[in-house]
Amino acid sequence: MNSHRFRQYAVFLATCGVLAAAPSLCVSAPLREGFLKEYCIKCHGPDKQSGDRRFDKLTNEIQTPDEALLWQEILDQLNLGAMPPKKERQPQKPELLAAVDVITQSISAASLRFKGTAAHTVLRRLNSYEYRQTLGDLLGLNVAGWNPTADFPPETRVAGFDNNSAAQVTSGMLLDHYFVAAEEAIQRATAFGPKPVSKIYVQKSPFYFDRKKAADLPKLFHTDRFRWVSDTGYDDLVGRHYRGGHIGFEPLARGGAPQSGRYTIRIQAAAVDLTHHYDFLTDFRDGDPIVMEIAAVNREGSVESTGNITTQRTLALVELTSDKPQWLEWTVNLERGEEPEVRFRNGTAAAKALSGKLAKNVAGHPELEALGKLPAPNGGRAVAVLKVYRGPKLRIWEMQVEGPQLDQWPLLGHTLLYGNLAPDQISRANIPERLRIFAEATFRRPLRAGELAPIERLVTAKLDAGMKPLAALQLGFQSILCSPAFLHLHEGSGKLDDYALASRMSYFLWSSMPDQKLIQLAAAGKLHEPATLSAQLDRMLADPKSQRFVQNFIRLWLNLDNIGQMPVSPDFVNYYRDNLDTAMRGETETFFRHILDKNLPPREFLAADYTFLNRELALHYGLPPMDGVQLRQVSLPKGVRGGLLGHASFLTASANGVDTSPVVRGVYVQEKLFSYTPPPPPPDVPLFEPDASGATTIREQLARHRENATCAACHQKIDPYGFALENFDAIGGWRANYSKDHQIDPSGDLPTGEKFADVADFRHLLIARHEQFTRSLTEKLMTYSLGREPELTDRAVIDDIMKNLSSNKGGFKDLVRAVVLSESFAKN
Amino acid sequence: MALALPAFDSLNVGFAATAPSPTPRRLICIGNHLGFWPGGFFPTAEGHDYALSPTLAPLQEYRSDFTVFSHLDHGTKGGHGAVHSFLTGVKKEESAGFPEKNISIDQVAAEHVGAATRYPSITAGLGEGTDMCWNRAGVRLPPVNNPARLFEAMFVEASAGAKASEGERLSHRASVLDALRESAKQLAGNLDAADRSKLDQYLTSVRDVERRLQMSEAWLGRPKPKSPIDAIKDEERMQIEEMPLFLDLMTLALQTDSTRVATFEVPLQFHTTDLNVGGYHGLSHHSKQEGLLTQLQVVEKYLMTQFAHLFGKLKEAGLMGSTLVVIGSGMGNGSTHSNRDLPVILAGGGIKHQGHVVCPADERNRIQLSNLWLSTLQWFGVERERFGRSTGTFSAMKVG
Repeated sequence: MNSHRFRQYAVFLATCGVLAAAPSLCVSAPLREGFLKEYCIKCHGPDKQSGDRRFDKLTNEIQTPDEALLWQEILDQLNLGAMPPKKERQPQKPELLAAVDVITQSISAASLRFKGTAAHTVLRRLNSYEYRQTLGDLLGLNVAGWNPTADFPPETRVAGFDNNSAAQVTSGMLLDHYFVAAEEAIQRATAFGPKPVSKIYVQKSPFYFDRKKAADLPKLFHTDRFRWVSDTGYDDLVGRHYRGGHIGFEPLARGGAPQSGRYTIRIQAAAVDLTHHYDFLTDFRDGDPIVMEIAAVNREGSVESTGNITTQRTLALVELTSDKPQWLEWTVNLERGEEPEVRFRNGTAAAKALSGKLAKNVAGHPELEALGKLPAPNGGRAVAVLKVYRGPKLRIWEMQVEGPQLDQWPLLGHTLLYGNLAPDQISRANIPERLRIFAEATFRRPLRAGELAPIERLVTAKLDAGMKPLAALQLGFQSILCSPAFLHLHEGSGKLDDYALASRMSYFLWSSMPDQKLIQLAAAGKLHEPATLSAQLDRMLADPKSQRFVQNFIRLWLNLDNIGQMPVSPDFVNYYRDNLDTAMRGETETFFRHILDKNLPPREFLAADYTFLNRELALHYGLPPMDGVQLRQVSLPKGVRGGLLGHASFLTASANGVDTSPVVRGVYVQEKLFSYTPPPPPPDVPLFEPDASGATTIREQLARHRENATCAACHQKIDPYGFALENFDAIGGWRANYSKDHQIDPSGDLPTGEKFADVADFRHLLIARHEQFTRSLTEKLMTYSLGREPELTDRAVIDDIMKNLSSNKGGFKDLVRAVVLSESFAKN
Repeated sequence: MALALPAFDSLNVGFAATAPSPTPRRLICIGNHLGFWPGGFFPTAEGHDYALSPTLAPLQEYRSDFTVFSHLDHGTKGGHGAVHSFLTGVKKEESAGFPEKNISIDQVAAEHVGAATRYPSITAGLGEGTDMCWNRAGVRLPPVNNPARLFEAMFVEASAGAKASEGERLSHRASVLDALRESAKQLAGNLDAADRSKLDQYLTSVRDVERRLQMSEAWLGRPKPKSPIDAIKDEERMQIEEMPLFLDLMTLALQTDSTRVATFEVPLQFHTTDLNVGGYHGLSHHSKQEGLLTQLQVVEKYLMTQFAHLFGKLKEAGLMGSTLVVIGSGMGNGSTHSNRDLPVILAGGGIKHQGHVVCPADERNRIQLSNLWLSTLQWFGVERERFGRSTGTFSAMKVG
């Protein structure tokens, strides 16, 4: 048994040792003739196919993924020491090691080849995110309010990034969605007729209506056990749940805003009873301000089962502390069909639960005792209790919405589609011209001869069949939005032409189509000149659209989609109540933006002794109190937090919402910060079950796991990176103990031998490796901007970038500039 | 020794069964994200006379109608990230290496049915589902998660006007597809080989949409069946109320031949609090703690009771003999995040059930779950010799 273990260990080391070796595609002939023949073919050959496996037909070169799979199986079995069977003749150790060595190399070379694209980005499709932004910019649509890609199938991810052209899938299902989105986009952009006049819509309390009198309104507006028609001149919101925690805006409740545009929203509100005497009210921190949220919701096609909401988004958040009525005002963009809702964002649980608790805990609360014997639950008990409730309430007197405020008419998108033609002026004569203008904008380059002929023929055929010119033209527009020239970035081979370069720039920094300025420079043939490109980079980063780069790049790099994807345990009350997921993403985005704008060295991502917090995040981090929902720069005390390692987003994305695993975090830290992915566990390794009871700590369990030499080899390289972060729980809060009896031990040794006592020590060790981090970040920027993984030929380019950056003491913006000016970026 | 279990071969299906059988065959696949706690799920004894495990107890009445398997899986890893390979054998991430990508058995069956029913398949589920159903392009089919919508799709006839405008819309779309095909071909002329093969995906998509368009056009004019039950209203329901509704609707869908393939997914976000226990995900991290395990078993018992309910309904409708029901999960053990030894139940289908089938547990002799899926597809009438990671059909597998 011992020797068996030793062999696995030795084999494992051998496997690791060759990972970096020069790739070769051939499983050497001697191996096939020798090793396989000697030890395998007897049972897996022409005479016998144990387990249905036959190896004598394997060729020298791995030709297909199936062959690679078969070799992988052989390798796994050898690594496990499971083959050849014990009763058969065994290979000597050196022979075995040599075989493992060759097979490993060949498989990795083959897999590179199967996915390899020879430093060439194959025809790249706009991914869902890019498609959405592009439609918005092309037609001037508010795609925050209307998401054309809501139902698109998810994009394939490679190393975290979802724009890898080689891996992208285009399917019939996606095409179906393109049709729907195109039709709707054209319809939304079309606005004939006079400019809509701005109106003021007003609603005063009461905000709830008798069900019978307002049957056409969604449930939110109806009175029920927890909501009544107020006669006090104001309405009180008591909970977070929509029943008793949200109010709608009746004047726009029948179909939402009639026209997309800017609207001013005014609300007269106050915060009442912030401190309270209800001990059982544990999920509202006594004395907290009230966080009022203004949300835009769309109810079109909604069903009652989802609370009559199809989409919703936050327009504004504000903290209220005064119990005097005050007017608050915001100017926001509403998309047609959207209507505002006011919400008590950090309210205690649902009104239903609250009224139950109040009714059960009457003693010692005169206002409740005074109610005497309460009527039955359905006879207004809840209403009676809530009316006298002296806990935190958001009080609303009046709401006003004024708009749409439109800067131009007709709108941008409409003009692109129709110029200044009225519907009855559209004809066979001017349709080709309209199609051409639209297609040129849509394809991001001049049209090729005859390129539009198929769509022109389609429109002509429809006209011949009696379709109205406007409808036929719109069908043409929809076809253009579904055509391959719009959906793909055509980058060709070799040096990019200036139009392709313009798109590469704009999809990198704006996740969208190039603007007029970029197209003009491309048309003049100047864009590729380094000085021009560099100036454009500055211009583009100064444009608000560059926030898409910040958000989307971070999302993919750090896999922030993982936040909330695994349901967060309801035990983390503050996660839900305090809107922490939004705040933690915001922290990392603001931090990234800060380093970019100030052109600070990339080392700052690891070393910064400050971060960006709001009141809730500061509380979550156990830092001195601050006010406001806005994130602001805060210096951090020495020790616990600093750099990305202390960001709640980083710590939540590397956990599962319930508990933490040093193994998972260890892999995450190395993948995200150093682009190193530890090898996956070999087959047949028993998984260990974390002990949530707290009888043994995760460290003790992992230590047991590591008694096995096979496991130890890898886990020595993984676990320390996770142990260091064990003081942070699954949502990034600080903890000193797992349980009463189990303190957390965050110490460890890195594989290089350096020791750390806690996360502060650990951070210093990582900061010392900042050059490796910067290289990793460069690779990730390349991956994101090129739509493919860096390959061997890009290595020299990255080396150059690193050398220049280091000798010029360059900052992060310099790094982004270097990527844009690099050879890899200029060609395909 | 040949392990002929369950006795697919005794029905003489497979390659010989090319003639259309008088009764169409049907398939139901049900999966939950977190599987079942192995300690409560797998029976200990083997064969016909095994004692039902605590988790399987609600199926007592139907014990001769199903087979439960031990030690079947796909050999995949990834915890939550591998659950979606339950019906495919192949993870999304590795799908590029397989000619059919990570297509799931239900979609292979749906392709086989084609336009013979109004819906080639019905994919239903609670909430977000659990990424169980995948088509040939490697794209996930999300579940219908509102029972009212499913009812509408099956039974509610659109107005004549709506049908006419839908017909018109379909015909316009067909013309657009023609134009797009031409545009793509024209564009291909300017591309090199690698780009062109990428553009082929686009052309394949055009053809796929066309094919389905034709099917829709064909069905548009035909009346939907009358509903034997009252209309299911769109209203707020708890998920534990939705599940039996869905299972009834699936039975009705088979009964009315609206489809022959139906799936149902129970997500990680299943609202277990409605059963007065903790959150589903949290419970799965039980680490064998009594309190959490007890609660988890409440959830699992609820699910099993629903399956028993489904079996009852299928029998009532006389469908059990022609419907194979696959139940299980891509998660073998939610607490350890293992994707080995998956819970797998096969029920109905008129096959000879074998009680508890214990497949070889040791690495060398393990049987691929894909083999069982291949046999399932052959039973369904699909002629094929491979599926996912199959090494052969299930019954042909040798032990020892």
